[in-house]
Amino acid sequence: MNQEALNRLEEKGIGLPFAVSKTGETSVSPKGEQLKSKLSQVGTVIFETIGAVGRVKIDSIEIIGEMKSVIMELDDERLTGSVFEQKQGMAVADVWNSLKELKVQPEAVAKVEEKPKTALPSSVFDDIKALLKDYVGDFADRIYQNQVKAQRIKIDECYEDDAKRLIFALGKAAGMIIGPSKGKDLTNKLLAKLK
Amino acid sequence: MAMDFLDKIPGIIGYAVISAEDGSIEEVKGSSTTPLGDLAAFFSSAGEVIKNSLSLGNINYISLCYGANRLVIFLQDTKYLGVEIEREQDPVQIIEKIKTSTAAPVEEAPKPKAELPRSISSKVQQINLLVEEFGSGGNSAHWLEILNQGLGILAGDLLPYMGVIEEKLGFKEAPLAEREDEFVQALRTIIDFLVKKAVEEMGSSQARVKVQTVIEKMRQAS
Repeated sequence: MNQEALNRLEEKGIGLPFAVSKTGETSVSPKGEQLKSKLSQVGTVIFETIGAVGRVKIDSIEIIGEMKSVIMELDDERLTGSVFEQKQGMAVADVWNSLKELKVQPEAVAKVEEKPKTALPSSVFDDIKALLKDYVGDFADRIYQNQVKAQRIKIDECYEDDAKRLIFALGKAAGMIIGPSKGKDLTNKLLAKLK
Repeated sequence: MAMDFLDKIPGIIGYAVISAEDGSIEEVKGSSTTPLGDLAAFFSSAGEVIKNSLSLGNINYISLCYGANRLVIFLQDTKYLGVEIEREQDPVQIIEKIKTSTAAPVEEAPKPKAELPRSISSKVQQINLLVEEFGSGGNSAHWLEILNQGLGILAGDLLPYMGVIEEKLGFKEAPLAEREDEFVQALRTIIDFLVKKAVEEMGSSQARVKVQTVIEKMRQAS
């Protein structure tokens, strides 16, 4: 996490920003230094809890306390968050907005290391729909549309991870109609479409 | 304390009740396809650890967002309630709604008396008669579970408006007029789903007899 971005955010006075990677690497702004080890533990607790729950892609968490609160935005590799006291006239949405700024800060090192992601072609989704129809017939359209909405998938900008999430959701939904073993079979065939 | 009053509150897709004492899942209801019991149990416990670690004071609520939905977890007497709502909904408002409903005397509790257009009410009636007929002979809980499954995968974003209330499909609030067709289509698919399940479970001839009985009951009622 870009230390400068954390510092800039702290200067705005909207809480103590922090970031914790899944591997435990923790970054805090200067005022958050005392809390660093505790924030690292928070990250561990969150990643372990998400791991225990399984395949639910949680992307944001708010824990609103009487004295202080913490909000966190998550992706597969790390969480970024802020600990704050809710002063009068201050909305949780303000803190979320400040975190968004953190996300758009340049991260030169990370960008060099990361491979650019490629969006999947729309033909993949045509194949998915066709195979789903083979398994659940007339229920296919409704199940597909509902799951695309429920998983917040953008078909024209969908990456492999999102597609996998959609496929598991479709397999689970189809399993309620055709039985779990056929649902699993469908999931495997749909996953093969991504290769 | 029975939490059935949550079934009638518009906007609630499903909910889980967790013992605050030992973290056990006491009840999961509604049509959500998300493991609400596990989520509420694990995160109420994680929330306690984080609360102590960061000295947050008592927790007002925990909110988790995933896909199009949000789970709001909060302490209600000796239980944690985990309530699933649409992502765009305000956690504070739903908690207030629930607390108001809890505080209201039983006789004043809101009744699910949504005014429905005939196109929708006839489909709701048909679904309830099908569930009653398929579940006759002591099998009604199983068929209500199947109805909930069908709602979960087929009703989509219509779920906050409808659900199983007092063992029948019902509306928590009237649907918007411009969404009438959408509701009718969804209910039609749920009817197809129930019939498909009946054919699987009891064979086509017995299922056909039961469907015929329902059609006859509807004809007599109209």
